[in-house]
Amino acid sequence: MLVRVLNVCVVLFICMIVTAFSIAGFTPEVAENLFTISWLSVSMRILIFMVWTGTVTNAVRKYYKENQVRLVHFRIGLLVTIVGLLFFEWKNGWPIISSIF
Amino acid sequence: MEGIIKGLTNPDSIGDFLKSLGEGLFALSPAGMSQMFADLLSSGAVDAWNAAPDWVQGLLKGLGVGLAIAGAIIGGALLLGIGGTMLAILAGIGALGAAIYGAIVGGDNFNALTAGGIVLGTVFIPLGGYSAGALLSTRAAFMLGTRSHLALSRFAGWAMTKLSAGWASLSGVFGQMKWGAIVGGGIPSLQHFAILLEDPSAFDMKKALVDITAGTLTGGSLAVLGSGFMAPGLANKLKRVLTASGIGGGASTLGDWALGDGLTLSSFLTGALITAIFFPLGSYSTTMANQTIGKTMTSTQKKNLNIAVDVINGFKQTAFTNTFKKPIMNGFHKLGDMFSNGWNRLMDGNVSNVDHTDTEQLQHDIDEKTNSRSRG
Repeated sequence: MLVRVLNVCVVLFICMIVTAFSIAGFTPEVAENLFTISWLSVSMRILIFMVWTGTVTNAVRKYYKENQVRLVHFRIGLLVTIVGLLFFEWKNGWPIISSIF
Repeated sequence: MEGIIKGLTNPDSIGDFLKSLGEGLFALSPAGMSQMFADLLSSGAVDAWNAAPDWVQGLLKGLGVGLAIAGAIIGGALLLGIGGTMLAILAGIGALGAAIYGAIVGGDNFNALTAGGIVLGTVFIPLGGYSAGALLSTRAAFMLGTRSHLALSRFAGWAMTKLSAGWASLSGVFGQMKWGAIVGGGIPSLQHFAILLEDPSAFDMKKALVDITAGTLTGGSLAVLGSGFMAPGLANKLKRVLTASGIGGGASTLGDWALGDGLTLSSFLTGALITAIFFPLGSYSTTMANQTIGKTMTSTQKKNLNIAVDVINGFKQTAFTNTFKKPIMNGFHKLGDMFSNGWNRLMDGNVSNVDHTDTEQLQHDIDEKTNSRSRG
């Protein structure tokens, strides 16, 4: 059951990224209007983080070739995310972390 | 009223007085009293209506229209003999909805058609669903439905087999790589998504695509190596180190090139060098940790230890790259210049690539010296 939810998370994550990036890439003015709505922007960010957590947990589960998801998959996924995000933050000049402060 | 009082107290003529007296007597009679009372009530109601706030006017208008239409529906249904509790409840809900609509838009913007539409919709949309359900459960509709369902499932089955066959072949080719690729591409996607939602004008599609592609390639490639940090033999170890440094260098070069910094060998060499230093270091520290404090640990504890060591290695490499990427790249640039100059001199005596600032500086120095000599 949980594995099914995680599979849905992968599909949702890819769909959300592709949709948002297509909107921003092809019609920047629509993105400007749409993504500056604060409640939408905040809830989308929370949603994408949840969906990504599911995705990375699922990917780690499949990486270890296991059929059931375990807590250690989630923990490894979280660590990989933190390290990877720190790397890309550093590479692109800390855009997310500087936006928090 | 004022006319009667004026006619009685200060009449213009005797006729006027008599007329006023008659009117006054009539006003005191029951018929006159009730007429006067109704007059007062209606003017009071108009005043109250005018004094009421806009939303109260809207609410009352909505309630009036809603109740009128709901009453008409219920009455019509009763006349036709098809009435029921459900219909009355629906009509009541519709009237309430119309009143709420009136309160929201206010009396000035009130539209009786909309209010009526709300009532009719509340009653007839559920009823329409009921009738449609009755229609669809006929034999012909069932047959049509079954046929379309069969066709759809046939198409879906065809598409799903194709899709799953494609995924299976991809899985076969890429193996463990694809999960690393998803994670590696997902992290920059997540970052650029957050940037997009934080400030849409700061979003850069090209940069996002470059980051995602580089992340996918690196994640996918490192996932294969990741499971074998502790390689069995020196040859395998060396092979892994070389592969990893090649991947690191390749990702760094591609990123710099795609962002317009030019396709340079020094960028590749820098990435490769840094990865080549840190990949074996990471592997070595993992082995060390496992063979010392890891010996007394359970397998879960060991796994956590390895994760911690990997994270520490990641930070070490990031800090090192952050500090030394520029100097190392400049060093490689210098080396490349030296090589190409030397090559040109050897092959065709061409010194056009020699750094011209040096000769200019030399000339400047000479001029300065000759000037000072002549001066002195």
